[in-house]
Amino acid sequence: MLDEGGCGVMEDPLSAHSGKRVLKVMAMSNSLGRGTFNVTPLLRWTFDCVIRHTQSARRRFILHPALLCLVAVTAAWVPDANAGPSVLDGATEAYRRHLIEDLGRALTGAKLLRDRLEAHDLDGAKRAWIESRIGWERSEVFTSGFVPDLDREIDAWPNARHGFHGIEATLFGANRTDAREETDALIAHLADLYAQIHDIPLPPQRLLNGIARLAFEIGGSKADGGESRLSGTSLNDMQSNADGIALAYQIVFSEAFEADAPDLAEAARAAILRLQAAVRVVALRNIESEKLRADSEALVAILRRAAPAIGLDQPALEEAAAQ
Amino acid sequence: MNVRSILCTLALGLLLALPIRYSHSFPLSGDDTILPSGTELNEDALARPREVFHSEFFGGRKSYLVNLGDVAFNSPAVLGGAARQAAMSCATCHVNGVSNPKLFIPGMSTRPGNFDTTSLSFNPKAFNSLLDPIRIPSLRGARYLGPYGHDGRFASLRDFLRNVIVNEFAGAEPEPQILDALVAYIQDIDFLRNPRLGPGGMLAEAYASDAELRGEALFFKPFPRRPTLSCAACHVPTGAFVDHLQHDVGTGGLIKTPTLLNANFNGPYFHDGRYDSYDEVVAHFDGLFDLHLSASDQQDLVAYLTAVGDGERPYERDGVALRMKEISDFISVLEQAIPARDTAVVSLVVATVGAELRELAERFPDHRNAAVSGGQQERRAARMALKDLVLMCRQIELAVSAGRLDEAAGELRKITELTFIPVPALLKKAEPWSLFNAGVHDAHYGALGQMLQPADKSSR
Repeated sequence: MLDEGGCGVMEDPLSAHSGKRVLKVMAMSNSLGRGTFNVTPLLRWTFDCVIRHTQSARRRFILHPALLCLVAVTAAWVPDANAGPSVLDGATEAYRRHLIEDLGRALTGAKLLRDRLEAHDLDGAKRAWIESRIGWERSEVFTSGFVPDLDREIDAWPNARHGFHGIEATLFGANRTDAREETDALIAHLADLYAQIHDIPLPPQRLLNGIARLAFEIGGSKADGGESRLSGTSLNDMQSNADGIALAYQIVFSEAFEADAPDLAEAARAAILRLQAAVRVVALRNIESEKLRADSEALVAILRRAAPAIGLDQPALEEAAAQ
Repeated sequence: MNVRSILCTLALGLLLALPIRYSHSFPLSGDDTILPSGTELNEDALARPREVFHSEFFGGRKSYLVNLGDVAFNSPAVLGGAARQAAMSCATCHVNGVSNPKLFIPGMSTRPGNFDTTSLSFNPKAFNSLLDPIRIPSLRGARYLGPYGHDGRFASLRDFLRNVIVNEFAGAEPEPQILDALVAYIQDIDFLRNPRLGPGGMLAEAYASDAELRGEALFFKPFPRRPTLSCAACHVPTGAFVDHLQHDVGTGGLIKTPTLLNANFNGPYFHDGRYDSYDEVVAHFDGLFDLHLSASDQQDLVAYLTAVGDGERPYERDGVALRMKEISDFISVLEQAIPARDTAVVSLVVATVGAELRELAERFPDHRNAAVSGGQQERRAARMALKDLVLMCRQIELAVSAGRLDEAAGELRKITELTFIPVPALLKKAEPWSLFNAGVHDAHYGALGQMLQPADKSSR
């Protein structure tokens, strides 16, 4: 009787003038039945009663007062008719813990980088720079959309002086260690971000935007060596990006998609695995760029189709600057 | 040596490059790339050779085949090996079907504008253990210029193209319809109109200077020691300034007579690109055939060649309008490919258009680019619109593969509408803050070059 979208009862035998109200109730029941809410048996029983009652041909137009009360109480109890985001809000908090961990890794790496620079240890500084990049790139689902100003300071491209790539030019391009000033600035910006990440709001919609945007970006041509070409770590960036996508999807969205759009959830899971596999190659030159691009775009297309099923908009591939 | 060959050769190299205003160019660093460090593909040039299609010149429109050929010409997927990995296509060397005088690939080029098609890097099977680069020729007017190849080794353009794809660039055996399309595309590329030439390839006297007219007379004058020869004997003015033959002009074998039409924009000259100017070319033939040309004679010949080699508006400024026109033409192929459920063509178009759209999106710098400020919302809107088009194209491919042709057709209608006015309008609004703006372009590539400059490795 219920359609797959959980919000229609098109073949319901109810008459036209009562169908509208029942339709709404059934939509709520449908969400409950799929586990989107952590519903008590009482609530489920209540809605079942309502549905059975209204489906009875004899009592089609008359609801028992007790049932009406039950409906009212239940409706008041249900926190939000938009089921997806409520559940997702909880999941984003779990994701926040990982973000804190990854950005902490980036910050720790940057501090180590400063130590190595002070010791004039070029190789050690390069290793610290690479370590810091891993945490940063894993967080890119979040960083480019949520904190664009800091993103511009930390990961400016192209810029010969500041940010990760300015330091990269000194360490890897010029093989020198005189990047103390730039590294101090990097640490300050990462510390600022690290402080913000503990309580910055993480709306699921914008995280989904971030996943889609990054997935799309991974599919871009790296024939010119990519962003981190001087250090030869563009491939590492891509791998960390793909891992960051997998992490955010798994923690924030997988359960909701599996509940409300299982086919698309399976497709998304497979597409993410394909994306991760596509960048797990020995060297950047071994990437099958056309296949990678197709995989990246297929993933975004799946997320766009699936988003409405959990009450979100289709993910945007660019984030508004002043959100 | 054959006198005729000499004459032909005379004209052969006569191509003087007008002062082309290419903006700052950016070499690949090569640190983690397919192509070696120091490679210059000149992909950031703000001026592009103007492409004139025969079918459009008289008010018609390009056929399905021509547009499909244009798609294939711009698609790395048609090639194989390192070229494909490096995202090179036919259009990398023949920008807009013309040439690329700045292209330089270390180990494969001896100077900008030439390239070794039998190198180890692009197809080991064709490797001849020689560094023997040939200049990148223009394809303007190619339908008049057979045989094909610098030494005229292929009578058929189709055979020549297959050899380029399969043997020179390690591509898979092309589908017959792709070869047909490539032939159709190349045969539709016209010469630029040159109002300085009248019927029969003679100078239009109303426009000609005295020096040019004297040069024309010299061009027809028999060589003193080989009276059966003259420049015009090989570069036949009534026939696109070619004779369709090969001649030995003292450069190491028989070489096909090149056209002089639009040659001002086809430098460097001679089959290996050894000369930069008409002056050098004339001096070469003067010595080869004992012409005993005076300095004045040489100047007159150069003036004549410059008049013959001219063309209207040889370059056009790269920008939103140009890019969107090309993309729309590519997309038009889907109008026939979708109902035919031609999945191979659909995939080729989607891949090529997607790459073009993505590349175009990168022309609108994102928030991380410190080289540009202002217009952030406009840039964002432009990028988003282009990315959405990429996804819509991909959706078409997925739908066609699944047999959902109506859905694919619906997506195509939406794309066609969007690319007609709404998207170009968005891009136009953002163009002042894009890499199409010379100031932004120079700031962007200046910062990039500064960051990646190899010299920085030793001092900064």
